[in-house]
Amino acid sequence: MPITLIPQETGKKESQSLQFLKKTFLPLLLVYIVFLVILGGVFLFTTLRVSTLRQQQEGITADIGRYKDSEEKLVLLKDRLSTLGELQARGISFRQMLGTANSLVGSGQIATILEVSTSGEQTQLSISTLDTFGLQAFLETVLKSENVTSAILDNVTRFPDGSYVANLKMKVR
Amino acid sequence: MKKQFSDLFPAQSLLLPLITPLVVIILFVASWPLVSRAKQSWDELDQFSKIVTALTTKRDQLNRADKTFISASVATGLRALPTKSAIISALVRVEEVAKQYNVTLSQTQVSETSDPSNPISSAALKIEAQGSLDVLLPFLGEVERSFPFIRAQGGNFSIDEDATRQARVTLVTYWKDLPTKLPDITEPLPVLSPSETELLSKLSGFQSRSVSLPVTPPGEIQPRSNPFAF
Repeated sequence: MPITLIPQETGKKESQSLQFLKKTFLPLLLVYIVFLVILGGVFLFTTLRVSTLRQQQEGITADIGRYKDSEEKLVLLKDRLSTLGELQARGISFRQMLGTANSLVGSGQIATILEVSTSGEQTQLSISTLDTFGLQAFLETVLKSENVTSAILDNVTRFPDGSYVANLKMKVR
Repeated sequence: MKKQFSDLFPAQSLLLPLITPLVVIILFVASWPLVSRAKQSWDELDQFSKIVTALTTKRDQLNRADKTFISASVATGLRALPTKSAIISALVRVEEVAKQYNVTLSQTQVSETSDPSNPISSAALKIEAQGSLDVLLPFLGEVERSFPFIRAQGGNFSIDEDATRQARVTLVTYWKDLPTKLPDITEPLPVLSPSETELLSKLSGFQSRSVSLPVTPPGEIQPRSNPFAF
């Protein structure tokens, strides 16, 4: 029978080390290998897919190239319409101002336009009415009008025959 | 005698619990470039997928687009906002409308303004017109519904003491160069906003000057005969 000279404690340590190797290191190594395989799979999949998409992209780009004429026309149309829209939005036109002034005097029913002039955004309106009622009706129309954003009554002149001339500074939309 | 693990590597067996996690960490750290490469590859795939989707949508839209409508709309847009000064066309159109509405034009004055920094060029047409508001308003309305695009920028309307109704109006017409480049192929097609669509349908009802210059198709120009050849 062989005589064991190794102390009892060392034998225990050895078995613990081997157990540690089996229980911890080998599973971790396995996890690492699985991780590498997944990584390789992802890499392979993405490379192949990118290659396919690259080919698709080339094909579609060539297709789009065949419609270049339509694309150019659409870009041109957008350019023209956006510029025209911008030009239209540049304040209110004189025709619209004149139209608003005409509506304020009820197309001549409430008052008579003597002068309409524009400088920048401001409109100067000069009107005449036959009597006080006409002036009152005109001023009420101005106050009620949704097109007039601001109005300043510059001066009002009364004439011996009872008629009035009023000058207004307005901003219309 | 059977050799034990600790007999061969006595010191290592004691260090194993310490070395093992270290080795695992080193392995994972060493494989980090691979992870980074895989992520890069995944991002590239994502980017390509988006590009291909955008291109497919663009191709389908171009395929479905009504080419006749686009061509007609572009022609309308170019008539409204030409590439070269159309002040003469505007002048002819204004005179034509004035005749139509019995408005007397006592004076017309043309002045072109050029500002190189502004891509939109413009020219002003100052007119003096006689007529009542009932006539002047529809006249100006018709002028503003004409090709090229004309806008009554500002003006003055007055009734003189002798009851003469007179309007001095500054009409402005515009032109602009063609766009010089197309957007990137992956960019989506330009989409008309509701206001632009409305403007396009409004422009379709506009009138242009009825005076048209004779157009000779290229290639039909005959060389002049030599009058001195006997």
